[in-house]
Amino acid sequence: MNMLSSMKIMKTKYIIAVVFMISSGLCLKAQAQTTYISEMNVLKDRFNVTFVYDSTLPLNGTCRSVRGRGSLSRSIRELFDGSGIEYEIMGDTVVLKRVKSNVSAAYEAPILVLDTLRPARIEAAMRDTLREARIISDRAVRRDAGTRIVALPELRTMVAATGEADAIKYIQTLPGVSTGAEGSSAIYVRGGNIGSNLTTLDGIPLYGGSHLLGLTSACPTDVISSVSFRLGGFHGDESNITASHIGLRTNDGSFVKPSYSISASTFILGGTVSLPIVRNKVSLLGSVRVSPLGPLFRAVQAAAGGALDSLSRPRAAVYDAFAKTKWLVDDDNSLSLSVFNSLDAYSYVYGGDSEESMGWNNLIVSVRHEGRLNGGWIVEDGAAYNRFSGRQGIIRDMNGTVNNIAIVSSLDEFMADVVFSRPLARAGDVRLGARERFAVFNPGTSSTFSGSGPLKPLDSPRSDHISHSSITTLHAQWSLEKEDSYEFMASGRINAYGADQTGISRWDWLITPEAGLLARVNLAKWLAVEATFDWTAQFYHTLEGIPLGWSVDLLVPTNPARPPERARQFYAGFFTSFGQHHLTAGAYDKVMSNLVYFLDAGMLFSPAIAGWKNNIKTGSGSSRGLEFLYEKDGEKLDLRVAYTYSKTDRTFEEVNEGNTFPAKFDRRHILNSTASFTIADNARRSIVLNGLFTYQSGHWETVAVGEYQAYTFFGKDVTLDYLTSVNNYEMPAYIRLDLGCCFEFKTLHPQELTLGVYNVLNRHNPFSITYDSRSREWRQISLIPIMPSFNWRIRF
Amino acid sequence: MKLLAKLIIQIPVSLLILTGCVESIVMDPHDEDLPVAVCCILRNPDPESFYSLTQTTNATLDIQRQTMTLNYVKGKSMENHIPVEEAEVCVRYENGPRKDPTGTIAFEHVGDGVWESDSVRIYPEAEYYLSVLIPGKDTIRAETTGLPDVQTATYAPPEVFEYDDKEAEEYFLRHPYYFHNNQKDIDCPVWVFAQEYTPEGWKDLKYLATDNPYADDFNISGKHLSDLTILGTQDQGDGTDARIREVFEASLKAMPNLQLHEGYIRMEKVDTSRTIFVSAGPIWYLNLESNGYYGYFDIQAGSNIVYDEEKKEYIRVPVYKKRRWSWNQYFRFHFHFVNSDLDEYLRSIYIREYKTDNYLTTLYTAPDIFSNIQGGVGIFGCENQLVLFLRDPDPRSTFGENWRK
Repeated sequence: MNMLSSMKIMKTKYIIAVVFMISSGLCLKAQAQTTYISEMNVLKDRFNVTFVYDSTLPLNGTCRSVRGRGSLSRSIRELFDGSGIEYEIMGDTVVLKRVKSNVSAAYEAPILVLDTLRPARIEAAMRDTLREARIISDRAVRRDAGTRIVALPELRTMVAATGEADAIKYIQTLPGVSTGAEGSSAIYVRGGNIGSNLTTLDGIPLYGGSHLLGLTSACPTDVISSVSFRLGGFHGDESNITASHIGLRTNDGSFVKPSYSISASTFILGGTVSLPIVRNKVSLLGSVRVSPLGPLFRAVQAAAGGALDSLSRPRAAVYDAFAKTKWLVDDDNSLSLSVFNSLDAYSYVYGGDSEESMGWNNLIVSVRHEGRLNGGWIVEDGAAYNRFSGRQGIIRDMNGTVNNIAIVSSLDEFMADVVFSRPLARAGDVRLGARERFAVFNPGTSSTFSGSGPLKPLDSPRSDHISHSSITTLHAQWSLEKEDSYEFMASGRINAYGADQTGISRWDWLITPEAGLLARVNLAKWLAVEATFDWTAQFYHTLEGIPLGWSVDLLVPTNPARPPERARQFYAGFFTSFGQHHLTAGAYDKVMSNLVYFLDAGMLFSPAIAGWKNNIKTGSGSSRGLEFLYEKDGEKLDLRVAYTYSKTDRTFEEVNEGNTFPAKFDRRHILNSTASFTIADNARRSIVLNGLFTYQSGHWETVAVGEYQAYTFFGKDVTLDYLTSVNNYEMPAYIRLDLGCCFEFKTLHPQELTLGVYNVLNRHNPFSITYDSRSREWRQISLIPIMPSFNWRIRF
Repeated sequence: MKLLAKLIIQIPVSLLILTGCVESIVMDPHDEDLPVAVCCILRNPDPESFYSLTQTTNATLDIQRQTMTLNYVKGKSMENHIPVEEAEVCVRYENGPRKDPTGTIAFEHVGDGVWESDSVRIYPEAEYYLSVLIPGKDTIRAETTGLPDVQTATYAPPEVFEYDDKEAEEYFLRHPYYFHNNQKDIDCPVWVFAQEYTPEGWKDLKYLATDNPYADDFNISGKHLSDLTILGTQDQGDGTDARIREVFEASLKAMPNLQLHEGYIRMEKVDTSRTIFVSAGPIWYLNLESNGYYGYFDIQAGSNIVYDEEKKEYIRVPVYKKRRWSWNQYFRFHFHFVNSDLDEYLRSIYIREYKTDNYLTTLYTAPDIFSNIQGGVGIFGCENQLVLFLRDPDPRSTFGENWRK
């Protein structure tokens, strides 16, 4: 199929999606109940929302029934108008508070986020955000086998090296997750690669998800309403991933009254605005963050009076901006338009003669519609454009000629999707949908060149490596649940994947099925067993370089020479709960195929990276492990201990003589322990101490134990390292303790201040080792010593 | 105060620029039981090809000694390599020519880890098996395959054609520069260098370009033909410099985006596609293009690209119309035909050696080096070299006895 016909198909699918977008209708019926709580439960099931509220609210009082009402906003309005309870609908969350209450202004975003695709499970989210929380149901025995809970308040108070905690930092403390380089956002989930994970922002992939070389997330926490982290039991609409899905959902702006906030942390300044444009009709949420890194760099340079560690003239430009407007069209339909843009750009001079730079940026424009159709169907549909690009550059004098080399990679993606869902009478819930993704990849292109001698001081055009791909996915999901007894979920996807290759207009097509199963059975009120099975595919590869989880890795499409990555995963375990104590334990087994091994990762800054396609090897991997999670939710003390024992390896026919070797971040033991202790919590302020202790087995490095002379006709003597095998040396264990204190001042303009110390032990944790041939000794490189941090936020 | 400020700010800066800490560590040197590094490249004598001679690799009647080095891998803590002094070394071959289908090449120790055989012929596409038995150790083994024949037939226009375009063109159609095999393609990797003769001797040209589809872009420089400029040559009053510039500018307009390879071009195999080499060196460039001899890989030297005002397009004009102007300098190609084992080995070394390190990638693990030695490291491969001169049938008359250096 040629390019033109593919575009036509894409266009047709897009039109269909848009038609769905405007085809909403109303037809929901309800039944009468008498208390606020019971009515809220009905609304939760119907609209997949989470209620967040103060437990002292009189929610057991009688009220009018809203079951016959149409929309969520209308039902909420009729339920609470005149009740003395104020409400605000923020995306999937409904916040309740007392009218004119000082305390109410200090509410947090939802403390728990559960799978909003499964209405029955939202029960577990019924928890207030204040310390005197009560939990309506036993959440331990309701935990989703595949989904980890990301608690936004806990997330915000975490200590991070940059002072800016984010969802990835929280996820790195969960079982089943191995981390990359220290302080970075790299995660390796159940033996997968970094690129096997997918972060989405309101369902749109966020490929360049990090700031500051991976030290923090590109997406501000202030605009996030919920974070779900799923590493098994994938849903029908979660595709193009083989390891985990980090789903970021953004808030809506306020429909009632404006609010503002300003925040500052060690390296990032930010501000948000949330306001109604048309009261109860149109809202706006905006956020901007910038990093003062550039001016700080220059100040450092001036104060130091010279280069630091051979680095001079450092420059940086870092920002992100998000805006979302939502229009409640009528009681049944809403439309939203959101734009996200981020940029990271750095440059420095290394060694006096090498001017190096790098950067990446994201642009996401998304239009979403949500509504209800006749027959009880709920429709969610939308279209989006997503652009991600990365750049690495180096200017260096080589043999008297100034080389100015730039390696640029870009991905342009157009998406349209539609999902229909509805409950079936006594037969569970069903979700059906379709998605089309058309992508234009242009990885590893080059370059510019200037200088003297035989070279003209002019830029030259880039050589492109453009290729196109299309993924058409049809998905279906059925789930059945009986309260406190069992739950089953089955999902399936069928993907029609097509791609051309650089310089070859012929498209190759591939039909790829995927499936997921989840089962939970409650053996007793305090004990449940669960299992998941996933058979997944991913239609692009990430050529990974330095394991920072940052965003200059190359994304390349699959094609016949690089078939889609596949993964098959089983998980089985149990969870139990005794009062405040909750324990989850399980085992997984995962097999991965068509993984890529990028032989030339060390050449990421070389013009030869343009020849990346010659240096990719495909192979397989396996991972198996045990996962434990213990949690205690107390009045003052909260504890969480996560432990993972796992073994992950890789096998590539053309690497390591075809012998299996450990994955680079195959950490056998991973222990993460977090604790928070509430010193004070009253109407005026709260003070919470928190800490994180982590112990992780060292990662693996390939270490040369000897050297020998090579034969070449390149014209110079070459000494080669003798490597016994790939990843033959296990680095020392990674140990770190972080301590912090979070102050919350519940004044007219609430403020939060988090002070922390990262790596209190000042342990020089290993990042890598190198051999100094002059001193003839090995040297260990560590990244982050003891590091104070702060984060301050004020709301208006 | 300045020192204090420096200390205070150095911590966060160190974080941000990823300097962190570097400290010495003690590792087990693993010096015991290090393997043997083998380097054994089987080759036949190199034919020298000139524009009036025909040669075929493997076909020369000369035979030569084969050489092998055997040294223990040097531990990181050791000062020098330790040569292998005692071993039984031989190379056995199978599937040789009918008159000599199998045989064994014995190697003798000549000192300092070097082992040599008697003068022997390496047979095309025969299978060679290396065996090194060191007392007290497992036998080191490797196998590789002899290279196929590569025939060169090169011609040049006689002086009589200097002004007779028609006759010269017919001659060129009959006698182009070309390599050919009995098959359509030369089915082995080839690494091509271009050199010019300077007062300091033969010098590799820095950049080459090709549109051959089998060319490996692993050593592309990130530069293009359009990045080149021309230094010109010393004009001896015959208009040479002006003609060179004319052709150069026309080439840039015709093929501005052709990528430049650094130092040489590696081709997976050679086929009949149009192939263009361009040097960035002061003035030299050569065009390799198809001459219509289907089934052969062609090299035609020095065709010009000029703009045809009537056709309103760029056309190629054979250099012989320019009365030998392109022969005013001395130039040669150096072809290294290697078998797949040696090719993969060399390629992995290039990637390791010639990557552009920067502050961050220096932290990254060096890539693996290919080896086909079982029980050791190194390489057992085959190589045939061929030098194609584009100047003089007898270089000794021009360059003396050191003409090949």
